[in-house]
Amino acid sequence: MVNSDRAAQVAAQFRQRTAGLPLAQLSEACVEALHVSGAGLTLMTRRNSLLVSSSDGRSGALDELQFSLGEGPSPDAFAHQAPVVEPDLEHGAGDRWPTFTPPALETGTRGVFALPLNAGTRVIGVLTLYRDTAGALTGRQADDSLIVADVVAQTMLSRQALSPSGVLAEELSTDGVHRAEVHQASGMVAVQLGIDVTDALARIRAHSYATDRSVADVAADIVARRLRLDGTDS
Amino acid sequence: MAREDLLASTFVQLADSLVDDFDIIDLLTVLADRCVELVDADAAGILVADADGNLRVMAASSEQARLLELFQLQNEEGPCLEAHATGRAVIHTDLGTAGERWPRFAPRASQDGFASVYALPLRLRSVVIGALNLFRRQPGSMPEADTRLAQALADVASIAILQHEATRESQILADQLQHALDSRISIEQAKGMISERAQIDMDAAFRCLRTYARAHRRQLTSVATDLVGGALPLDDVIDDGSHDAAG
Repeated sequence: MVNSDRAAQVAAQFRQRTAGLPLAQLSEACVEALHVSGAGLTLMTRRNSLLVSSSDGRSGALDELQFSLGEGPSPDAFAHQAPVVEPDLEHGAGDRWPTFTPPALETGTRGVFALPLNAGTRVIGVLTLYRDTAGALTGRQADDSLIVADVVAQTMLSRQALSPSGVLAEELSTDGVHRAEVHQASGMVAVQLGIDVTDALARIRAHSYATDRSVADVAADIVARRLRLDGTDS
Repeated sequence: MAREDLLASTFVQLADSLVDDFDIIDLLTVLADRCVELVDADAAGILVADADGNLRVMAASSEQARLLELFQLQNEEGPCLEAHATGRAVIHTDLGTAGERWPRFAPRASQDGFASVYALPLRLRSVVIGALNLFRRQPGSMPEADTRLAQALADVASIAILQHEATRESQILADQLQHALDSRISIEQAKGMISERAQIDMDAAFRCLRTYARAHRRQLTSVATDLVGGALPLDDVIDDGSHDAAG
């Protein structure tokens, strides 16, 4: 049980620390506040996800990896609407995420802690914390991480509230060009194969995995018409 | 049910605002009914301010109490209004002598057979959302413990209502945020579909999508969503959207 006075204090401190900060810098603030090695902040819906902020290149790559594979702690935390914790990736997670774990370990990551971003009874995304050393978070770290995740969720909602209805907040619209290309490529493959865009993305993911390339690279080739997934030569 | 059991179950019922079928009128009806059962009061009525700040009768333990609350609103006088305005309890233990304070309300309450009244604010810290009125047929004071209990029940109900409102607001925002993200991504997917079918580049595909949306006086995002979802044939968009796609 989180002590409510301490919770209020941690929330107030984090709010103060991040007031007016661009959303892209929120994950760095999470790393500092929670004393972890890296953090990624992802907005999610049932069909899509968007990396809003990553504290460093590796955290960004780990998000990209999960998006490419469609597997990992962050999508699990969103799907289950509950924290997903793996304090020892090396010894505990082989069965859990068979394709995510080996490349994640290669980046030097040893622990992952994915926290859903709650808005009432909805979940709008996931805050994922990474650690270079194996081991559970301390009780206080675990408590604080839930509080920080709540503040992050409120911050994202309040920024979106400033935007006209139906339009994604400016701060959230500057998704990396590569992710836009992935969605464009999904549209192209959907037409090539006569399937829907969700299945098209799955095909792109499968092709990336089979050829050991990133989804972003494969998508760039599709958009540039250097690659088709319908078996014909481009 | 023993008093303690009823008390416990009432607190739980009043606190439970995170259920899907939460209904503020249900909640306040429970509050009014339980006050009559648990404290030394004969009737209860509740006023709550709506989004525009206008007080409305939200619940009452009897039709007579409901009419008495309405009477206060219509005449703009009475203990419930004062409790809401000040955020403090307003108590009168002998309505027979309250004619000067409330020239319209006091005689009407006496006529209904009520001799004393307790009006307690529905509040959380400095936020006052309404007031709970307890009417008694006997003049004089309620036991102090009863007043405290009624205020505690009112406090729990207030927290539940405020909590529910905050939750509902953030859920509406969450839905808007997720819808906006899906819409934005649908535009990229729609561009890819048009680009592939018409063999044009992404910029031209976007102009085609926009031209179609304008020609049909529709929002870009809803056209993209329909196209991606299969509700709108791709060829229709390309045919109608290519006329001045260069422009």
